[in-house]
Amino acid sequence: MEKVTMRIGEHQALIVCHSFQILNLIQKNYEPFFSKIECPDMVIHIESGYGIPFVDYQVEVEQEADTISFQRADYRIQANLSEGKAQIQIYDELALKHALMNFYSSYIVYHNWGLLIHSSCATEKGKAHLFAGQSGAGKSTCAQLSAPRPILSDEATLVKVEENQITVYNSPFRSELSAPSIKGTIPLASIQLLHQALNNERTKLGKASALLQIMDKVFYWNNDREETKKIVQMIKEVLDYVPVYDLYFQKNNTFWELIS
Amino acid sequence: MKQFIRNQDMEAVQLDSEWVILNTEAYTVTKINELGGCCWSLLENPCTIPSLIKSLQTDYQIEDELSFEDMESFLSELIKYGLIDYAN
Repeated sequence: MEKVTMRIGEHQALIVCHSFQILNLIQKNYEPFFSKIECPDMVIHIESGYGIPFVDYQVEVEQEADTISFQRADYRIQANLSEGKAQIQIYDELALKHALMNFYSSYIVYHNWGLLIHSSCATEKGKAHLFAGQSGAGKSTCAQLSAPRPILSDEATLVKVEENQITVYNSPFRSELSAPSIKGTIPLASIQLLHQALNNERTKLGKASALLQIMDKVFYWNNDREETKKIVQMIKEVLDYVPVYDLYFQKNNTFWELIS
Repeated sequence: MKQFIRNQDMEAVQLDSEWVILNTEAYTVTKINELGGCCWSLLENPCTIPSLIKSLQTDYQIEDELSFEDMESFLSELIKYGLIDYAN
């Protein structure tokens, strides 16, 4: 067994790899986040040899007294969210990423820490700007067009929700753009809901419409009532500080003129 | 006369002048305006259509003319989405 330690958001994780194949995948995808840690918040055991290749995004959830399990064709997680412990079994690299996102998003909602939002996020002048949308809406495109601005995420944005501030952490869960070395947090200044168009236009949404839109962009699988309430309350806190816009954008970098 | 009341397990959030009601059983969300939000607050206890209209005019100083039919239609929508039910 090989052990590596890393930081995800402000959480310290001890990853126990049950094979060199897993260790290689972890190094390949998460090395920029490796870090010495003092006391792990999360202990994650990962094994390979489970299941079949990706079929669909359908996750079966089973909740017991102090454990929860998530099962998909290509991964299985058994976790104790309160203690931050997880046993993850995977089929391949894609399953590894999705399983880690599944566990971590469940962990941060359980602890009321924050949300993992299906979006990309770029920084400008010390502020973070988030671009949300369903697959194909242009999240990665926006991130690529935002160069040379540092990119905090290109697929899943890590948002910490506190009573009087909303901040974004560098996300280890990447799709195409590798993670830059960004330490610390950046305050979130705006959220854009993406629509590709022939002209650039940005219009502000009412908070209720914004809540509806953001709800289905949160990575979350558990339909537990109390957990769902936590998500709604956290989105509400985000909306108290951060404006949400519909962004109609051309596929070039001129949309930044509307944001800067 | 028919009485109406909120169903259990609803989570309502007020955002400025609008409300979002989350049905945590069916996992649906419904957006309603300020007047609807006043109705939602009143529906914590059993209400008839006339009692709702009267309370909106007296307690919430709603000056718009509120017809029985409009209220009935609004309540039918809430029933359709599983947010309220008949109390009797």
